[in-house]
Amino acid sequence: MRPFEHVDATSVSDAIALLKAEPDGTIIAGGTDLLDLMKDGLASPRVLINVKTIDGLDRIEADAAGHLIIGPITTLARLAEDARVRQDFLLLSEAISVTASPQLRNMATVAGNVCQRPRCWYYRGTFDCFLKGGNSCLAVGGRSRDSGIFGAAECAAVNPSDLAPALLALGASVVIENAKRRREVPLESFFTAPQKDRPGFTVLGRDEMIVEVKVPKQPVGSRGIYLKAMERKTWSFAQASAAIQLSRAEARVTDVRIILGGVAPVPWRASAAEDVLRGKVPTGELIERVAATATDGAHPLGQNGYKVKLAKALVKRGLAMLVDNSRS
Amino acid sequence: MKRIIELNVNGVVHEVVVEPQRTLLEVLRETLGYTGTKKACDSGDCGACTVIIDGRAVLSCLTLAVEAQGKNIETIEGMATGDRLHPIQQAFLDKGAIQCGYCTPGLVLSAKALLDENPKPSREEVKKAIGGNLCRCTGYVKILDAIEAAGEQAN
Repeated sequence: MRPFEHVDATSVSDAIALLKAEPDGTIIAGGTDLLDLMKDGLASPRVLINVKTIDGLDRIEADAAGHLIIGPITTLARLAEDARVRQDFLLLSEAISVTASPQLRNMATVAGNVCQRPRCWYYRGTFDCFLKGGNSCLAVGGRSRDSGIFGAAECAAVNPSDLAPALLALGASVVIENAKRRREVPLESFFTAPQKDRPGFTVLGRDEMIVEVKVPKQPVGSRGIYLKAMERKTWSFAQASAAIQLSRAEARVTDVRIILGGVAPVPWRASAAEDVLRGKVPTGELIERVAATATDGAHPLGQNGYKVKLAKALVKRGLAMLVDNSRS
Repeated sequence: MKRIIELNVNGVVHEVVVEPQRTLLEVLRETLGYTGTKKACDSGDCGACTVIIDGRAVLSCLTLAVEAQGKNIETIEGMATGDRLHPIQQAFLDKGAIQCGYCTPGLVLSAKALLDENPKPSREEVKKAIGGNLCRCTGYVKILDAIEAAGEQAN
């Protein structure tokens, strides 16, 4: 790693002031993605601002309205183990249980996971791909088995997070601060597909910090599920994943959110599929139609057509399991 | 800029001068001589560098030494008591769970983190707990047997 300065921040405003003062500075939380990027020369900050020294940033609590408030440096392991999370937001625990490895879950943080860089063989390797200033995406026409099937603008790398699709399925938002203001951004508009005139992966400004992740209270009886297809049973990024949160009144679906992971530069919301299901009684036939709609508009590359089938199958299986379970 | 820090390794406090870019793995092995902690992939994939910090199994290759200050660090060197192996180490020997041995320290520490929390884990729980430790020799079966045996012995 290239040498850098390391500063322990004492408060959120201290961390933000340091970010503002040091254009080549970046926040280090769990460090599991950042240090890996630095070892590979994909990031070379001059200053690391350690936020693990700030009191209270690892809290997990409910506010007066019953919304879950997660501190940004809460580790994935602690969030997954939390009794309240297991009771009311099981989807989060499920997604984390299949994320990375036990050691990485003990280190990686919630905000760090949400802000992790994309996964692509060309980007993480030694190639001048689009994300590293090259003219075009090398996965198009090249090795594309791990690439996205949706929403690629100029780069086909995928957002690899398991937690982000689960948070999106629960309608979560992030609270972001800079020196002047505090704003709440729904996760749905937080992620961006990198483009030539806008190279970032999120809307987070370089002098901004995530200070909170907020998960709204779910309706009574609402249930979630996270299904992930991997090339082996553990410690693997998603080939495709589906995070589904389903709410019903009597037999009818009152609300549903279906978010696909590992298939697009952002966690991919299958809005059209949700519309097919909302307000209806979920029969087997309807679930088939919802699953088919979930992959409408997919544009697979040379080697990743299998992701279309996987995504469809995960949505179908997830919905079937949710409907079965809530009947019993 | 170099910094003077204190690292508590297996209950012994060491004062060391480190540059911020040095990982805990490098400082353990190269500065303090705890070479039982292995460096293999150096990128968080293999688990050979696993140590326990404040009761949790973590990767020392992705931990900055300066951020380990003031924490309880456990390495493989802290497991045995004098000449008496820790029950997990003994079980690895008894069950033939070691071949080349390079992954062994990391696996033993992952197992310790598990058994300290959950002394009688199911086979499935053991599999989950060592999911981040790669072994290219054994095929894992004897490692699972050893950890299960160590768990039973503790009770």
